[in-house]
Amino acid sequence: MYFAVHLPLLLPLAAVPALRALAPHLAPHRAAWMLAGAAVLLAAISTLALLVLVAMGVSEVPLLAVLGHYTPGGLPGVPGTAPLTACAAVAALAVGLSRTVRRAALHSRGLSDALSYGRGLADDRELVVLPDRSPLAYALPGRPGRIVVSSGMLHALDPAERRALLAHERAHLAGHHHVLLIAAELAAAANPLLHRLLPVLSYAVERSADEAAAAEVGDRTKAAHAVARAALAAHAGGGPHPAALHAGTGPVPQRVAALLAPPPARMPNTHTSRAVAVVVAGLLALGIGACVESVVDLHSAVETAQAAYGESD
Amino acid sequence: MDTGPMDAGTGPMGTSARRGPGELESEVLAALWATDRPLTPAEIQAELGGDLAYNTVHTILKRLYDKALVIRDAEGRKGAYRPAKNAAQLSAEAMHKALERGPDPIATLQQFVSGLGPDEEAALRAFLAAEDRARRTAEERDERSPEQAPARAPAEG
Repeated sequence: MYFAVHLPLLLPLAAVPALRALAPHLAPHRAAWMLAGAAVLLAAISTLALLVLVAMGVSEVPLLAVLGHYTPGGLPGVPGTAPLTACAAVAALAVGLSRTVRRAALHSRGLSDALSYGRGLADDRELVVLPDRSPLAYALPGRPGRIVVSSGMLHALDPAERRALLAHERAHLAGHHHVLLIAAELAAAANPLLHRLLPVLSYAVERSADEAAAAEVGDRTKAAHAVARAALAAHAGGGPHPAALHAGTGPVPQRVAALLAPPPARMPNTHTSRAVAVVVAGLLALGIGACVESVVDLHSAVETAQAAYGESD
Repeated sequence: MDTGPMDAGTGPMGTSARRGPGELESEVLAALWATDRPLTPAEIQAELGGDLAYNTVHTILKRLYDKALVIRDAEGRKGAYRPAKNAAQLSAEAMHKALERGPDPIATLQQFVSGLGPDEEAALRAFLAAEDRARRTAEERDERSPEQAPARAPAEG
């Protein structure tokens, strides 16, 4: 039990590189769902493992042994150092929880801003044009979701490219990409070892929307044009909105190259990608198994100790 | 402006059957915002591709007009439309205010494009330039008879 409970904590060290290696071999929308799902799963089991460590440490406290009706001096299989480990686990939980709560508050404020802005429009228009020379474009979640584009961006593109841009943003809204991004971001706030999944997820989400744009205009080269021209326009126009600058240099040339390559549905299903997929699935299963095992073991250890206490009565 | 031979080899543009009314409204609105002059329904029809019926464009413009998103051009040509800029101005300010609260993935990660490094900028410029050259060559070839394949690139600067 004491070994198993540490496994979910160390698992991201192996699972994150494996996930990063697997993502490029999947169709972008599958990769996005896999990355977000794995991030949430890994964060959940590592948090659960910390809680088990705390429970083990607490079980060493004599007063609790009396209250819980088991023999003082600890549970079977729990080492004497458990209280120390539990202190570290409490600290890790506190840091992770406070980071997650802070990020969640920021996101919920952003979402409520988006929703109230959408309500303020008072009609069901899909496209909102900002009369602004600096080129920018993004998808704004809501009911209905809106596509926000500046007039500067529309000026920079030809009709087919504008259609690709609209289809790209529409795909973000239809695919609930903001949900995936926020879920993964919160998971990474809870467990910083997952942080390196975020750029891969962000890229997968953009690629997924690019593929939708290519399907809409029926021309992959034209969709690549739209991405390239929009990037150059935004660059020349003093860059995207200041709020976006922290994103740093984006993998736009990779997106263009991917659009010029064959569509992902026709990507060869190599032995390597299958092997990596098996490794990822195995690691995640191992993590869930270790978590379940340590919870079940802790539970049965308490019951054994309570039974022993009952006999000694 | 760009419905010519360039698309002939790479794929059909006739996908309008899948475009819903909301999507068409967005496209027409985007076309009006993309230019500084008012557009007539016929010009919009030409912009968006020939497979769109004139009546459809007219219906969409009527709907946009009812939502006060476009205005009829008063002083200019009869039947031409402009985007309604005053209506959008308020929204824009509210939007900028909401955005400035960032960093938030809703606003930032879903930017169509993020920043570019110098190398990336050069790569994209090279890509677009190569595409433009290829298009010009293709257009020249189409203008000539098929027997005379062009041996030289168009000599323009």
